[in-house]
Amino acid sequence: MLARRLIPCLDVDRGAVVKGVRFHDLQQAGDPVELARRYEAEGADEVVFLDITATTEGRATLVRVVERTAEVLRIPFTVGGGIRSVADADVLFRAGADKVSVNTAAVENPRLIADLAERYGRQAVVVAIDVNLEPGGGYRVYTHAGKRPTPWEARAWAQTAARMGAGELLVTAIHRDGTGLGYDLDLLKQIVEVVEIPVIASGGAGRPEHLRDALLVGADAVLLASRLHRAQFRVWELKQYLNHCGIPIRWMYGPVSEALHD
Amino acid sequence: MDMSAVPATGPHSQAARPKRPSVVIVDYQAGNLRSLTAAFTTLGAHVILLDRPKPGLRFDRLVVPGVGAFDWACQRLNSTGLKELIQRSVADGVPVLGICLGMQWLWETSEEGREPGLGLWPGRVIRFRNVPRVPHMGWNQVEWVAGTRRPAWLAGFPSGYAYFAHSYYPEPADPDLVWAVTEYGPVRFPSVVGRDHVVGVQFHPEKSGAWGLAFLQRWLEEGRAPCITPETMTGISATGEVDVRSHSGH
Repeated sequence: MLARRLIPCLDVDRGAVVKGVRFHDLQQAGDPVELARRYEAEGADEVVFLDITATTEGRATLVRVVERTAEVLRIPFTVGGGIRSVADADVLFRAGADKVSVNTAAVENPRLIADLAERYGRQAVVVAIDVNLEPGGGYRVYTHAGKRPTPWEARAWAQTAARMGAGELLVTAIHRDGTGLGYDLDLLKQIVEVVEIPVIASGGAGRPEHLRDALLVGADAVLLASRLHRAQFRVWELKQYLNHCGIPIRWMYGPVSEALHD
Repeated sequence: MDMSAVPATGPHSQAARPKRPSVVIVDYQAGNLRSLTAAFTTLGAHVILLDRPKPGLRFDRLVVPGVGAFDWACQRLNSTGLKELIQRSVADGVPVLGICLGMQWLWETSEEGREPGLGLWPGRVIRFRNVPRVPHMGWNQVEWVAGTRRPAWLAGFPSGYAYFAHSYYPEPADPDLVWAVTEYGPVRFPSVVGRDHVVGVQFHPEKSGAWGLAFLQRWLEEGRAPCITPETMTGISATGEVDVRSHSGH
């Protein structure tokens, strides 16, 4: 049976993790590679790097991070943030990324999704959708790190992205992000009903029950962002909880992969 | 067509095993081979990435990796001469491992593309139907099929979770080709297939944690002699591990 996934997300700026650091015993607490390895050892199913670097020099640093990650990480990882073209994505794939995540550039040019899928296969293309619950009701898609509204209603854009060749949707509820109040379950329900590709829930998780609730309404994976990093929940504890709730999760083979990290 | 990039040894070669097995990874320019390279390097292999056959190159094993889209891969393999290199390796008894798309390409046809596959094995590659979501994305269990004729290097290897990312899977015309299966919704699809010294996996062993690394290690260490050992198996045990009696030659 296909297991549901727990995916820690690390925000990276100029090659360093900028928030959510909780492994205080690490020598280099801000090193994304070190953190990704730690999450792997704890039972994370994938890792997402979200690059929030604004400068060109910073992008070069990110590529080096991706290369180092591919050398040591034995679970898949996705890289998102600032990818505007097939050429941008190609640099990251060549550096070792398993998937890329596109957001603003995909809304501005949906054809980008198709171009990426044709070249790298749709399983390598994640479309990140930032959604806000508007004051008058209704879910609207935002771009530019959640700052700029678009004409797209969330379901319509989700369907379009899927039709263009997205392999997964990473759906973030802006109005819940950082609140710890839980994922927007109504939004998730609406999205999983209208697409047949996997949906990753993001934005709002603060307690293990929130992960359970998102998975029970049909999300295939949950993103663990900053709030959960800071909390005292370890990945394997969260998995133990979900397993107790009857949700299929992956248990690792053999002793926790210490051997990988000697 | 330059065919001088020939495998170093065949199944009946008496040549001593080199300290570091050299593994050719066929590079058809469709993305990420870094993880796969790193996994083999970690396991002590010498990795050679080839985007076209290289005259005079000797190697012990060959991997057809799984990245990109079907037609792109077919066209690249055809136009670069890598197809002939793979065919030659298969014919010479060199251990060959196909991963995901690289495995799917070994069959006759695929619903993903218009190009024909290699046609090494009878059967076709089809798209998932009536499953919860496509692509089949994430970690799922690989379970060995009781009574199949698997090579000695896989004897006793446990079932486990592996990482999948695919929309298509093979439908073999010959059920003996199926060594392990994985369940997704109502579909039970082959996740490890093979015959003799050629093995194909639908998952990504280089992305499947310690279990996947152990699988690659077995392939590197034990897959050298393509001996087929009929197993006297009792089936899959309650723990999900394969219950296998002792083997000669392992």
